[in-house]
Amino acid sequence: MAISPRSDATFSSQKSTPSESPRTKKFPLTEEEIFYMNCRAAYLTVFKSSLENIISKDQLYLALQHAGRNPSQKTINKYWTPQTAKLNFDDFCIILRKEKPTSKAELLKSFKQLDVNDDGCILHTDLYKFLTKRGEKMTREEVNAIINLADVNADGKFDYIKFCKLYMTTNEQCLKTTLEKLEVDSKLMRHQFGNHIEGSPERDPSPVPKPSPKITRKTDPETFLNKGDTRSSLLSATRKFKTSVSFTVTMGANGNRNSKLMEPNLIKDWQHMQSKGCFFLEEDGEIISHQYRMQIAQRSMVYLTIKPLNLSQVEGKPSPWLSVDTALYILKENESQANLQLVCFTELRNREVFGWTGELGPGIYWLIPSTTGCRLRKKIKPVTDEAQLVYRDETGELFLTKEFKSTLSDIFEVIDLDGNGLLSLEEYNFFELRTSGEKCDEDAWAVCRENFDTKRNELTRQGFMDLNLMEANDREGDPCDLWVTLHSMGYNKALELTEACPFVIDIYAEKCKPKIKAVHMEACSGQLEKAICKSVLSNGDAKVMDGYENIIVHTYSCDTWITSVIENKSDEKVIIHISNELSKNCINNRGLNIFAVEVGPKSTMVCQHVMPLNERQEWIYYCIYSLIS
Amino acid sequence: MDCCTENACSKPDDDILDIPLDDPGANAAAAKIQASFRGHMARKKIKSGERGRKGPGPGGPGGAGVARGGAGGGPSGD
Repeated sequence: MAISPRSDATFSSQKSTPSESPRTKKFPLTEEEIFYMNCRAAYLTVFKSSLENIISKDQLYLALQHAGRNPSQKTINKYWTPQTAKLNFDDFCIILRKEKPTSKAELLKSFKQLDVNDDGCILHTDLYKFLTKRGEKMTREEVNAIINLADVNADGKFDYIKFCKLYMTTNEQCLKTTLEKLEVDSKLMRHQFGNHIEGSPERDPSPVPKPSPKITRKTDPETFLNKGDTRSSLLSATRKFKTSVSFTVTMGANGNRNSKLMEPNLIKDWQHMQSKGCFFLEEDGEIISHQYRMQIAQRSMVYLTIKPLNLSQVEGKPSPWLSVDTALYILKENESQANLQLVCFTELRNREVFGWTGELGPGIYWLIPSTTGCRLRKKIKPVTDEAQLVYRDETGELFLTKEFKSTLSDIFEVIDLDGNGLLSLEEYNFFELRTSGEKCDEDAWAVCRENFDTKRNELTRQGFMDLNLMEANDREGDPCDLWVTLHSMGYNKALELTEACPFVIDIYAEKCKPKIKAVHMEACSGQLEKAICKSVLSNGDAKVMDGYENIIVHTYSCDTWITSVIENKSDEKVIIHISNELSKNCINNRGLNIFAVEVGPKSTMVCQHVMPLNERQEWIYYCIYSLIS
Repeated sequence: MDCCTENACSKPDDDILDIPLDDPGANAAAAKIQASFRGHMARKKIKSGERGRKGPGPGGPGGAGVARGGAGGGPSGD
């Protein structure tokens, strides 16, 4: 006897099972979430787990039918080629995206072609001959099974209009049944996927829609790690993965359980040194930052922190950089600058502050700031109002507007790296390189000192303002050059700081006065990428590709972000396909859910960084890595 | 049954419904109908609680018992 379907069965828990608690859903599932659930529900009617592979045509055929599709042998052969050994759940989802369910209208249209009388019926004799001699021929037994359906056959005729209704009803009931089984299996799923089903996060009333990948995709201008990065919008169905590995992490909201940053006792008695800096977002999406050289004179306990810089808050103006994650990698110099050894990184956290505490021996260290880039990315929000930078009074004299002065004051605060209220030539040159691409030499600096307010050969805040006013006057009030300066410093036309993240580094040492100096501004690659790879390989979980022990995926997760690194120990380059489509409430630094990376022989590469979209909710990282070639 | 058999045997090369056997439109419609029939019958089996070929049979281990425990009267509660 068939189980009677209940109207609420699809989305409610089985309250009769004591181990399960009922789920309350305040907001409906997104289309994407429904699609995913339906995929899993169908897959699990054929397999015990979505980690199992499809190993035969028959399995693929049956799973697709249970997912509401009508695959023909021609369709199956398209996805299961002579070279196919197996497919995984991810492949299954891709196929289901491409093969849409048959609609009632389509079905009726096909039957009408056989309806010579146009009376909604087909003679059994005609149906039999048609189905056994054309298309993908049916056997006599198969046709008899259809003819024996009592509800849609009478007097030697097949009522295809009734059949189409029955067909749709059966489809719906099949879906309900498979979803019910999914609920029943949820206990098992919790064990395998860490509360993936039960822990679906509630969503905000106005969620930001996550775009699902399309078959044809525009070229994405935001590219990270261009080197070795192969981007494919959606893998071709004829392309087969050699092997796959997946990794799942479930994070509770605002998890700050294990890695709390604690300030050492008696910190007030320690020697303190501070430096500011800034992450800048380049046109191509790459992030660059100041890098520092630090000197420790003798062995000492050290406490280091980094956090976004809190600038003066203009009322009503957003400050998105304050939510950017910041980290600091500490490398020790051995023999020369070319040989840097990773010592540690700021793995502890206290709200927006990241830090590290421990003992450092005497020597030269490099401090390399880092951000995942998940929260510092290009936004395509058009700014309607352009702020006014300059104006003329009644006499025609040029002035900076109050708003622009406030912004310049903030910029001064950022580029005054040592926080002494003055700009040295070195500090000013970081700014000059950033804004004009050239350095200010000693002669030009001497001219500045003669014409603008300075103290001890360093430019004051007022002097900095007057310098910009002079530039405006040189252009006779045209603000174009001023806007170039502002854009390169991360400001948009509304004078909002959206594409930069100023930060501040604090260093405390117990036994000596640490010295720190910003040395250059560099892309967050090179030394930093090496440091991140080394850190993830040391601290993360390693998973080997099935059958390819030379390809290892390392995943490091802390409360704030997850970083994955791909290690290729073989002598040939490999291409890895990455899919984050099954993650929940996540955002990565690449801005794509599906992409591919090329890893050279005997090398490692940072694959991606992932953070929660909404930190106040649970987030689930579910990433599938597949070897292409 | 016999009537169908006789027809199939006695007129093997007859055009069906006056449509040539090599008509691509008709063959596409046939393939579509056949796939729909096959899909329908597969999904019809799901309703009776039958699991896939690789799944555990009735009374099998794991969650299968829970899934099929109510086959007779349906689970209590919801």
